[in-house]
Amino acid sequence: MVKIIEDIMDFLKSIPPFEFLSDEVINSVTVKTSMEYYPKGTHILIQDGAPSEFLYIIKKGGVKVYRKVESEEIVIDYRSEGDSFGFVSLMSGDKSRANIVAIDDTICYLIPKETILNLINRYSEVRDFFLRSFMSIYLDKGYREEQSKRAITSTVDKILFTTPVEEIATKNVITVPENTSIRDAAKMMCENSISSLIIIDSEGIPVGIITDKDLRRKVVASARDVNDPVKNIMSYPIIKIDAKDLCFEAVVRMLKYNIHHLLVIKNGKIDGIITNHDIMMLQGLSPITIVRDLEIQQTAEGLMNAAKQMNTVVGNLISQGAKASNITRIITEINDRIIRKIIQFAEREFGQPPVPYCWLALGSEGRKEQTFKTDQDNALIYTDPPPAQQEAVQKYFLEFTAYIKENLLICGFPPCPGDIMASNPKWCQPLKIWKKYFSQWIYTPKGENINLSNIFFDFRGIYGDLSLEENLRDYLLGIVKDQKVFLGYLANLAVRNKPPLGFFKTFVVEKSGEHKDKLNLKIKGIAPIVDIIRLFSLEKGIRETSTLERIEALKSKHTVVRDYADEIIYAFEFLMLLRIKKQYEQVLKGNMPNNFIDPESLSNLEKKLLKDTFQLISKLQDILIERYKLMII
Amino acid sequence: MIKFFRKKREKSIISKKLIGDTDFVVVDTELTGLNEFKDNIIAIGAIKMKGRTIKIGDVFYRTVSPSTKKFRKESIMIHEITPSELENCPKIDPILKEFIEFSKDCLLVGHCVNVDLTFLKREIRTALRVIFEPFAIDTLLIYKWLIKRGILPMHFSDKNSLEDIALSMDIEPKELHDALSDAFTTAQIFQKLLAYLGDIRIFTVGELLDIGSGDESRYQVLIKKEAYPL
Repeated sequence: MVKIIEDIMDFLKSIPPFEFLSDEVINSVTVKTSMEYYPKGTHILIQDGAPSEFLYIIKKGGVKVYRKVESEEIVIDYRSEGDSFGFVSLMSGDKSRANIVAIDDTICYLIPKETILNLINRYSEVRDFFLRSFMSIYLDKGYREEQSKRAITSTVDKILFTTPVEEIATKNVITVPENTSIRDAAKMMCENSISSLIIIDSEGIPVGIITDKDLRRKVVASARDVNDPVKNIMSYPIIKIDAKDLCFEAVVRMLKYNIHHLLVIKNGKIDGIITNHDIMMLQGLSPITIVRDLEIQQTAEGLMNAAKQMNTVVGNLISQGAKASNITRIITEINDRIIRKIIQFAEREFGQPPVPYCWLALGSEGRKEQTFKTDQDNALIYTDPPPAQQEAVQKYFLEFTAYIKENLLICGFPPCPGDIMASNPKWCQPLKIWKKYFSQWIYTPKGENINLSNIFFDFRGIYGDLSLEENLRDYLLGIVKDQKVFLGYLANLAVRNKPPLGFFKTFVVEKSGEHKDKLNLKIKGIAPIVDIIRLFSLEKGIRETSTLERIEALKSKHTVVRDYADEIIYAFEFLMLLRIKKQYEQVLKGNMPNNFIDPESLSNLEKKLLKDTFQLISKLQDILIERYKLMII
Repeated sequence: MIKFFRKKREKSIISKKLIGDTDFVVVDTELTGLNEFKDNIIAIGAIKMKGRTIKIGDVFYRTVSPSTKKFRKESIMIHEITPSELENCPKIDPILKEFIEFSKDCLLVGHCVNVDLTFLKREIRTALRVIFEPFAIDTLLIYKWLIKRGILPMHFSDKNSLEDIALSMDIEPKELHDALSDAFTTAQIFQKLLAYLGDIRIFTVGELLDIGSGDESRYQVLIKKEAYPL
């Protein structure tokens, strides 16, 4: 055996789907393989360019997969050693759907299209592996096209992977003997308004199917005699699927046999037909499944059950390569709906509130950056009541918020350890008191007040009279702008946590304790960015609360953000995604999600990106120190 | 004289070809020693490239039973092929024929390719009575040229061995002194060198030959001696 071929075989053997194949087969693939070198910055595939003729497997380096939509770059994925690309375009023969650019000097093994098709035809493991990835990318595409329009309707479904075929199959199946004339068969299809008939032989065994397409192509277009028996025009063999199989399996079979109908069998008998149209309908409906489910619930327990699907949705989004900001937007949207439902239950329980009010989400919920279940962080503003009613109004809202707190708990939102919740009388106040709080924090910035500002100033109204929220925000932005001392304190807080990079650009990790050798992504990475961007937003009177929206709004107003916007967005998305992925793994294992990661568990590419991110944070902190030099303590 | 003219005419044709459309054979030979007159080829390893693409499956590897009995000790140390191992190997004649067939219509590429070429020419002449006169490109010359042009860093200029050059270009030299592995390492070096040349818009074989032609005896066996510190 030749050594260099052996080395490449060993490499292929370590990555799916080749790991399932015998040495002999891998050898036959390897001798067809070529090796290419792409210096950093090379575009390997071009969006809308020629279809890919190879499956590219990354041996060394890494690539970015992105699409350009109306001059905006949408990053779809990063791939590194052992990952592949080019498959979808290779399979479909369509023009490449995305740009692939080398983000490092990159070496790829290229396996020719013919070799891959051969493997797919001969080995079911290879077929399933690629179809699975193909499907997820396909779904992903639909998802991306939607996502610019609406947040929630764009959740891609787990449905394909969890729904048994029988749930969506058409049950109205009509069988006809194979000698039936084409004319009679067509008549039967018209009378029953169905698009297909199952053809059975003399023993009643299904042998084929005729569809509208067969009638068009094989009868009308070729002027066939309509008195011919249907068996002359039927499509066969007919592919069956068990009623209990998942819809995903149905998709795989349709793709494999290039057909659009499958016969559904239950306990050995014909149970129905499933078509690609049924599956498309399923996907079309699925994005809003959770939301629809939530809307019909009338109890907290019901909401809890519906909310359970969220982890699966997040898992799917992760596996489909969704951006972190899209994942958190969807989580936020779902959580918001849960809270709104519970508030509605509370209104039902205690009767209409005596004065208009607005429920506020704070912290990460206010910024729409929630990942997995987080603590309750909320507050309530109500319209200043006439003095005589003050006490009664307060009593109403305290009972009201206590009820909401309990029910949120049922739905899996633990109470805030610092008691920053609307059920705490301190944080359930009329507008004028809120204004007093805010001005106090800003004019006497010390200790606790600064921390409270960081939590409360990301407030976002999610239910009730939103003009109260607007009113409070106008007030805040009006008084905060020129408060140099207060802003200095915030700056101080934003530079407090230095990124964990050592002198030789190594990661600095926890030295002992439960999280030894790990680093805290939230404190060392995400929080500094959030804090810096909040500070800039307050400086410039930006109304947005989410970090990414704030950056967009600041681009035209703040010189630092103008210079670094893309880098900051990229770094933030990267950190958030790393955290979500990690937390999802923890959730799957049944552990409580936390914010720690072990840098050694990251791929080389991730390590490099993480270092770049920390260096950027460090640079921003230096800029901050320079700008606020008098204030930094 | 006739041959000389023929080659000159061929050169004018081949010079216009684009590097990307050109077939290369990256070759490495293992020898019993470096004496041009006494020593022999004991192994030939080669791998094909089309432009920058390395064709993993298109490889050639044969070991040869040498005609010389004077097997040099240091060569054994380099290649780890012992005389007894070689006794079971086929004679060189058919292997050379196969190699000529394998490298047909291709440009030869090698690290200090002159050394390999000198031995191949002589062995082919004596064994087959055929003149073997391919165009050849020396990766070391291209490497040095890129340093001179300031495209590769100056401090690379003291590097001559295949191993050092591979390491300087972030290529892992595997199984050094195995003819095929060395050819593969050389191919990877050539691949990256071509990428650098592409950056400065060098795309034709003619330009490539001007920079790195191994035909002229600009570099002598001496270099290869340096390249293998014994």
